[in-house]
Amino acid sequence: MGSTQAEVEVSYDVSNEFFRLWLDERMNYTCGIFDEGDWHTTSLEEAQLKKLAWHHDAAHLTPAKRTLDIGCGWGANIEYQAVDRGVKEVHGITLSRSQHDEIMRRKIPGVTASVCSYIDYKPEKKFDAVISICMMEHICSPEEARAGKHIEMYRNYFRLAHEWTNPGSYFALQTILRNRFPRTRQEIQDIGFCTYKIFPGGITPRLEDIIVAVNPYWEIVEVKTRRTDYQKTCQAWLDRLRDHQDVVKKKWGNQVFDDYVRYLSTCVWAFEKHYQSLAQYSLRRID
Amino acid sequence: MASSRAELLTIFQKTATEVVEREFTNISEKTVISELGIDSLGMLEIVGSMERQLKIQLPDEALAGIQTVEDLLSLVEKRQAP
Repeated sequence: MGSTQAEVEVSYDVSNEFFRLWLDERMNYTCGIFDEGDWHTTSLEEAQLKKLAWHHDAAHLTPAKRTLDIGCGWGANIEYQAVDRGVKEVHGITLSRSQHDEIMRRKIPGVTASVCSYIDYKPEKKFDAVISICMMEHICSPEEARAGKHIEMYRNYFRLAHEWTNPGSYFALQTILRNRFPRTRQEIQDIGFCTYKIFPGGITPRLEDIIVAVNPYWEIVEVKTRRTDYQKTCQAWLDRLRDHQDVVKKKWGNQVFDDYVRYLSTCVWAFEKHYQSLAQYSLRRID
Repeated sequence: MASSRAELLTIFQKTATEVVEREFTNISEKTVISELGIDSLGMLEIVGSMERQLKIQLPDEALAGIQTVEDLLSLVEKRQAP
């Protein structure tokens, strides 16, 4: 069953104020795009906007397309699609009550959200597009992956997204990728710390898992890997977190600061050394 | 030049001793690695060290199937070929 609500809340419910200190202003907690062809930026805010625009295009959104965001976080993507791009109806689901509170606080026209697992979600009307940014990491636990259940669990997620959409829909997907195990004790322990302490109940998929599991529901139209973009994103988060060291330690304690420094530092070298990567996909519904 | 099976067994024994910090005697190809008191983390460390020494890279998906020293050495041998 992947991450439970309690496990998701370990990852995302430290405090909205805590995450606001070191994420971008829209509170994207996923990889931004720093480099795209001849376009480059060093700004985290610009990188996150570029990522949201990529998903807009990959999902083939227009203002009239009713859109679902699975694992919508604090609402950065649904707000962008509704406000910046004029999509009239956007619904987000998240298992985190703190994230849902933040979305409600934003009072975004055209946006609705619910606290719900994708497994239990039953839409009233079908959607014309789906976006899901780094939620797949919560679908399957390390134990379930070791037991060989992961492909069927991922396939069920793609099946549900297919069921919830109209013919002709596109699905913009983003996932962290597990590329290669580290080979030193310290690195294995650091990655284990991120997996079990920061994101309990979840594990990143491998690219080949996704390729297998989309069938027979979605056709892969485009795949783009962005390993170094995620390295830069994590470095930007780490720098901002360190800039707020005093306030973080005062409000949430030394342990939270130390844990998040260890986790973000691990992510920086894990992307640098190819242990992890990131992929974005544009999927077309097989009708 | 590729190492022989006997050389690989010696490299494994020496590497396991360094990683686990314990002297191993009587390791044969039939030895089950977990029965040496080496856990999955230790196994990955041994694999990493052997990869560096032999200048090879073993695919992750093959590592899960390693039970015995023979399983590991066969995998290493394949990666060394020709």
